[in-house]
Amino acid sequence: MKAIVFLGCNNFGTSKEALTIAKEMGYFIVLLTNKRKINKQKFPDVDLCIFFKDILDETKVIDELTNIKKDGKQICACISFIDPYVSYAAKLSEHLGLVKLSADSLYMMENKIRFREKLRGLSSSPFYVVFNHDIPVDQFVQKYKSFLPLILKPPASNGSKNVLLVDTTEKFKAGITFLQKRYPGRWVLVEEYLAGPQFLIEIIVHSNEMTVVGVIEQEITNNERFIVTGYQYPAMLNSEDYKNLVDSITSIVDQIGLSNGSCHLEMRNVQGNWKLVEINPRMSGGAMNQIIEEGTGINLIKEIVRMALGEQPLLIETRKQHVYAIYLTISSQGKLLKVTGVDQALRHKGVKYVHIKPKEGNILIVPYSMGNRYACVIAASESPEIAKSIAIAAAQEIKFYLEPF
Amino acid sequence: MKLSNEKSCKHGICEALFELKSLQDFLTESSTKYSGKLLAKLVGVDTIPFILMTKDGLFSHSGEVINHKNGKAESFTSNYFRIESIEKEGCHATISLLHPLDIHGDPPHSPCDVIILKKTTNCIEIDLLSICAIQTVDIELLKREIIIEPKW
Repeated sequence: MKAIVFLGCNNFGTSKEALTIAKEMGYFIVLLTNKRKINKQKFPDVDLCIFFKDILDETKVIDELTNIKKDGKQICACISFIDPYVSYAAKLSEHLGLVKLSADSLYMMENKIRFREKLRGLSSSPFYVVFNHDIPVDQFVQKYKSFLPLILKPPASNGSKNVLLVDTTEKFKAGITFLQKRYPGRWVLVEEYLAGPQFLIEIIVHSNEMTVVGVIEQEITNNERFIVTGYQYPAMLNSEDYKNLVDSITSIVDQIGLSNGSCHLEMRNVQGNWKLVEINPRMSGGAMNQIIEEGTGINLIKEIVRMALGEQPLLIETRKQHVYAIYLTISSQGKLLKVTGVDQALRHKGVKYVHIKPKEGNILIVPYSMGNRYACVIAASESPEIAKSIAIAAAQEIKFYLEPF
Repeated sequence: MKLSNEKSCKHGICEALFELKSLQDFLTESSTKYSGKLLAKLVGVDTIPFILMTKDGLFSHSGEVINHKNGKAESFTSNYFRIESIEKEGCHATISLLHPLDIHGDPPHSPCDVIILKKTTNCIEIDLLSICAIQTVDIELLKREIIIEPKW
């Protein structure tokens, strides 16, 4: 029996959907996870779930995969859609004699300092400096305060977790101190703040040939914490901006040496210049697959899985629609008593998808990372304005009833 | 035999309700030398809500409240009450109606939909001889606040 091995999975979004899609493709699904709570009810597509305290323990994982093979399963791919297992899965795939992705490039993208170092000198690279405890915080702040406003990032976070914008010397110092407490002994990446609209770009590189699958404009409402609450596909770029964007991405991909693999970039257009906010060695999480599929007809997860199987990805658009995805966050915290409005939201013409993340009884908080977005509504239409207004109108139907504490 | 049983039962209800009233008064009125009205603050309510059973089932009564959205009087039916006063000798009590609401602020369809109880000024007098059981209800129902998010 043909099997696909997945490393790690979230409760919702891309990584979970990948299991369903691979299952539909007819494979036996093996999931290696470090979450105890994975069960058949929540993950009906998983045929074999193996718990590992540390998925990164290569020897144990390889032993387990050997056992699976002995059981008569033919492992056809080893893949991950979540940090920090993407490059590791690519390495395992190679070790098993399967597809060879650019594991080194993917590894480079897994750490924000690593890729900044690698891309130093490119026109898309912003000014950055690393706080590595060489000098005391005070001195460091004095030295770089003229560059304010700045962005402070823990080098291996995702979902904008603990990414801070600081615009005064006091906040700068407090931010560094906060991150030091949060991540003791770790370095902090300090970057120039890039002012301008932000875009997300999904790409696939297959045999050195790069395809831009989609460019999506992101709307960030919570400015201090960088929570993306709106995605518009396709981004409305003029042909010059688009060409410059593709050129910029091409030089980044070249420099990083990605010849086989998929990734997504986040870039800002700063007065006509494309600047790289970050690059991640995997497809975006959340409902990105629905957004792209509604807009283009391409099932990107499926094509990434196909690539991991050694097949050629098919990236041909079969439809052209404008898509708008809106994510809901809340402004007060409490225990979720009830959610209403899902059916009403789905009744709006053009609404394609409504997802409520939390369950009754969960504690909901004001957003500090993308994980604190609690509902998603996706609408599609012939025009970008209509898609957006449908999504917003439908989202307004959704209400979270919370009990404060 | 039957007669004496009935008598003790009725007597029991009266005693029980009297006890509840004393407890409720103690909550609201008690004041201590150093902490003052700390007890009332800790408990956070001045009402111990309860339901009553008659031979025919759950005791219910209708009342009226002003709907703050439109300013109009609206009738409601409730099974939830607060003790206001009790006359032990005559086995009579004055109870006020608590207005039950579901999560949307509408009349609940079933007891499990009741999220909030609101005090009202609708008072009724009841003959305790017609009551055969009393059950207190979670005081959280009177304290509950609900936030609706997101705010647009």
